[in-house]
Amino acid sequence: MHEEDRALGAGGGPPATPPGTVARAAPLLAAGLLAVAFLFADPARTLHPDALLTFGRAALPALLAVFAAVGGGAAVLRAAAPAALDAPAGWLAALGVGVALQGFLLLGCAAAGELGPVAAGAVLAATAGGWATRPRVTVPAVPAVACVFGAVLLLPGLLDALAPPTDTDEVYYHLALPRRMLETGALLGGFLTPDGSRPMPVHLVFAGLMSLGGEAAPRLWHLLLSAALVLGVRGLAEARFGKGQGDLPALALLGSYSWLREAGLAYNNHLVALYLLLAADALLARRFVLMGWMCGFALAVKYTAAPAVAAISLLAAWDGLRVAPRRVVFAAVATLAPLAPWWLRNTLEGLHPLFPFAGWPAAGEGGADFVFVYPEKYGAGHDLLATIRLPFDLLFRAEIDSFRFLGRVSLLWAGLGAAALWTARRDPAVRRLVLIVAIGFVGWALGARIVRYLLPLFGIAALAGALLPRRWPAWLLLAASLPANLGPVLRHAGARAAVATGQESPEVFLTREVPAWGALSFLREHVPVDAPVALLFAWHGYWVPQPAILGSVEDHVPTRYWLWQHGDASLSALADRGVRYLLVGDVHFLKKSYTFLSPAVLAEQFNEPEARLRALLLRDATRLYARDRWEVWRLDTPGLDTPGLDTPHLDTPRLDD
Amino acid sequence: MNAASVGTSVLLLAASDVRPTVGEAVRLSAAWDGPSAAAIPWEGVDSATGAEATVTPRATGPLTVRAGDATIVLNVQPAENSGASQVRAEVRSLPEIEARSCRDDRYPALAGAWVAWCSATGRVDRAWDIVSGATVSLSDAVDAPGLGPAAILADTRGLWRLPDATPVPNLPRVSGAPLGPPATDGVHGAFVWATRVESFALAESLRAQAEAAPLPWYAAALAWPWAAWVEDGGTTREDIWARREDARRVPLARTARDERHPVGSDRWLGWVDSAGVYVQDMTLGERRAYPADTGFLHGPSLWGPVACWEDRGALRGGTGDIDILCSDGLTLRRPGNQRAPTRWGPWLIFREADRTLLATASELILDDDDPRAEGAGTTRAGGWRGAHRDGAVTFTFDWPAAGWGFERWEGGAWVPGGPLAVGRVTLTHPGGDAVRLAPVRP
Repeated sequence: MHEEDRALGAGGGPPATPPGTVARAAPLLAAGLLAVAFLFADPARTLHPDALLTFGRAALPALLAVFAAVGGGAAVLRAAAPAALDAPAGWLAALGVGVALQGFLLLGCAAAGELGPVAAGAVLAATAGGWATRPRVTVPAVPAVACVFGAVLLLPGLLDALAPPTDTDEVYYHLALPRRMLETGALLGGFLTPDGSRPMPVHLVFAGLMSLGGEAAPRLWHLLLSAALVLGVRGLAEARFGKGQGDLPALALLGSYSWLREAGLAYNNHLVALYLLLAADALLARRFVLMGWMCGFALAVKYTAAPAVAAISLLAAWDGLRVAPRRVVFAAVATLAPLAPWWLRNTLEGLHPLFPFAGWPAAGEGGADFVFVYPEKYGAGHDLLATIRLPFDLLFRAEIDSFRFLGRVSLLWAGLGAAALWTARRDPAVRRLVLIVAIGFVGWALGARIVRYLLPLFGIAALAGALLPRRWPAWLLLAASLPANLGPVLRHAGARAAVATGQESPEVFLTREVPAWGALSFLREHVPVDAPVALLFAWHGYWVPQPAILGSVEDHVPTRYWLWQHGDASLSALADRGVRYLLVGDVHFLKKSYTFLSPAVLAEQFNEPEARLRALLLRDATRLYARDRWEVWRLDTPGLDTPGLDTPHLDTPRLDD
Repeated sequence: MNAASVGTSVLLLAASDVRPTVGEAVRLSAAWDGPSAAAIPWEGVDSATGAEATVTPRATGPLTVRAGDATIVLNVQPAENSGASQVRAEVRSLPEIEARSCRDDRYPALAGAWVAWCSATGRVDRAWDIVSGATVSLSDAVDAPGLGPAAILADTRGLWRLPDATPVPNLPRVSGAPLGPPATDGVHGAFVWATRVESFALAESLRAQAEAAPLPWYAAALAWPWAAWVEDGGTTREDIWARREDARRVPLARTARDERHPVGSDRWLGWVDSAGVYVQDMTLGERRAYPADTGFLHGPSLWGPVACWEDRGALRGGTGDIDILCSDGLTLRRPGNQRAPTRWGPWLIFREADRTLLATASELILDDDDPRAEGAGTTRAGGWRGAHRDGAVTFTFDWPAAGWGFERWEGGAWVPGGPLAVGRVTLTHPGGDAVRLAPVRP
């Protein structure tokens, strides 16, 4: 038929008229309707309609937020640094600036006590308004094969995003705080909710997304950002080192368990990596002020960016102080500006600006502060030999479920590292990137050796190693370590496939996956939703519908500090703050896990608070539920638990005769 | 009857003593149904507050109390026993049974004369016979089984009759995960589910159900044909509900206090609230109350009408720690906290720090005011603890320990009565006074 048409046309007949809009849209519409109809009527019920609706409800605000962020960020860059917008990573810079802008606007809403769906919608609309300035944003061109490959590797992240949250960090922090902020409309913080005293720009974005699309929205948004980071690394590598040089760096990310594991979760490490990558790119392009902002955004998202930010700042000072000292000073101001509101807030609340990372102060003389994290707990040792062996241990001995790095990375990083060192000899740009990664790595090694804390360097490190010669058997490194990296991700995703697609109820899933779910269910079903709950040696704030205080950071510091601070009055002090119910975990701080602590500190800060709580519960509380290591207790508040014999008027339905 | 009383009905009445003496304050409790306990139409009482009332008899003879359609008759006596027994016990450690071996800390616990405990699995899969010292490894491990005399009942795995290591074959089994441990007396069982309670003879497949909304974690209790459970009553907070033989739901204890931890043995149901321990004879309607500060950690344990519980009165008063008390006078006051008592006959197992210990009573005395005492005679002055009955009294109970005998209190001294058989025992005191159970000295 088409051949005939062409023949007719060629023969001088009337020219073929292009199909009209309706003609073009009709097949698409019909196919779309058929697809939707099949999905909803699928006889195998592979995708439950509720799961599709959940996905749609979450995906829409997530996509809108990314779209709006790019628009808003592009408008800002167009006005302030147009060259950056025109650069190969211009779209990524626009996205980064837009996300930061959204976080800043939502901070204003939270400060006014108005954080909620209206505020979130308004912020999205305001930043999307940036598109009205018609900024030139170049969408990265990626081959379809690469897109499909990347999408397949990110599929487990999609299942993660659609499954009920069970990840520890999401449940105690990344999703718990946004949920609580939405309930109150404002920021949280202080000793009772110490995680709320961290800088929270990304968590405000999470809150806004959650208010619009439920718990899956921030996770889908994060999945999009993870994909953006991969595309950004690939695009920058190709732009800097030539076509085809971006695939292996991108695969180093996608082939690492620790990176993939977080893709579909509401986390912040990938965003830090994105900002640091943009900061490094800006450094190489000598856009110092933009570099400063990116460094500031990275720090505000997570302080683990600090070593890399220090390296970038030093290089900027080295490069720029002689030629553009004012811009370097502005860069320093820009670095600190995103942090200033958070430090100021802590200071005004009587806290250390860096609380809770600065620790909990010990009262009196001679007492040791309660530290935020004990770096010695993590990794494969902290002595000289272990430090020398660190790269090897990281590649070959890391474990995903123990304190030995708590993660895993692809062996491809060895190839990228070697390539980076090799090319750094001749390429000053790579030399700078290597220096940033090296200082960042040393900073990481001096702290808690958890792979997750290393993720912020991944973007820059992948870019630095992008000149890996093609003749090198890099694919072999990737392939050899792919099972070890992808296997746990697939196992994890497999356990979530049924609930993510609606084949399994969230209740059944959570009962299986969350050891504390019995106690959490009790709180959710049998405790008044407005009764404050203290989480003692427990961290499951996201799943506690009541206002929850204390909870856990690292080694349960908030609970230990409270018990240490209030002594035998710990539970009555909670009662004074309106707490009636306690979610209590049964912990045992064993000496063998804290060999780096002095016996006195272990006793005073760990064992004694633990024993004190057990003793106080027996005296001042009543156990309502217990399963495995998790219990719900009710405080025996005088006057509330000793009523007279009178039975109040009841609105009880009649019993069946 | 005022307007508020419309729709309120009383299903059951219980009295703290069905054989009170003149001048004794008897507390009455109504199991009520309707919009307001304040509307209960009490008759024949001195004072009433909601579902509870008090009457002080002024003359001997029958005294009838009514609340709506429910009636209870008190048989007022001219005399009463006085004072209480203090029973000592020998305690020994059971090192092979680790106190923290079970994921559910309601175990180790007694299943009659057996200790049900956990191996390294953290689930109940071992049973240790106190009499012979033999250990049985169960064919399967279960999380939170129901325990009865030489019986372990789990949901899908069925019933173990100890010492058999495998479940009884061909017994109908239930499927699913109950909200809390089931209850069994070895012949019957009760299960709590999210929307119902089932109680039934284990050999039958027909299961009587009652609609219910049990609170999770709490165990079911059984005093066949009664089955009890805990429900959240909203303004009345935790309440004890029970299923009657006619399948009707009855709110057994429904006040503004927190009634919890039901437990059953023979014809008695027990529970705790914020004021004490209660043991109700489901046949006679007598509800004995033992003031206590208990129920904060573990529930009480019943051997017939004998209740044992953790008491933290001294701990809260700043004068001591947690001790174990029993309604028959067996007391464990030792340094440290004694917790998680379960009782059967002369034996009581409990936990102290990380140890499981076994206490054996040095003697037990069943007086004529014991809930197990049956005899229609009038209570007269004189005898053990100052009173006895005219005519014989009979005591019927399950006895697990060999090598014990009994004595009768006659003429101001204990007179040997003979050996005690293991199993269902019926003892009679022709003079209507106390009997003492004690190990036979060789």
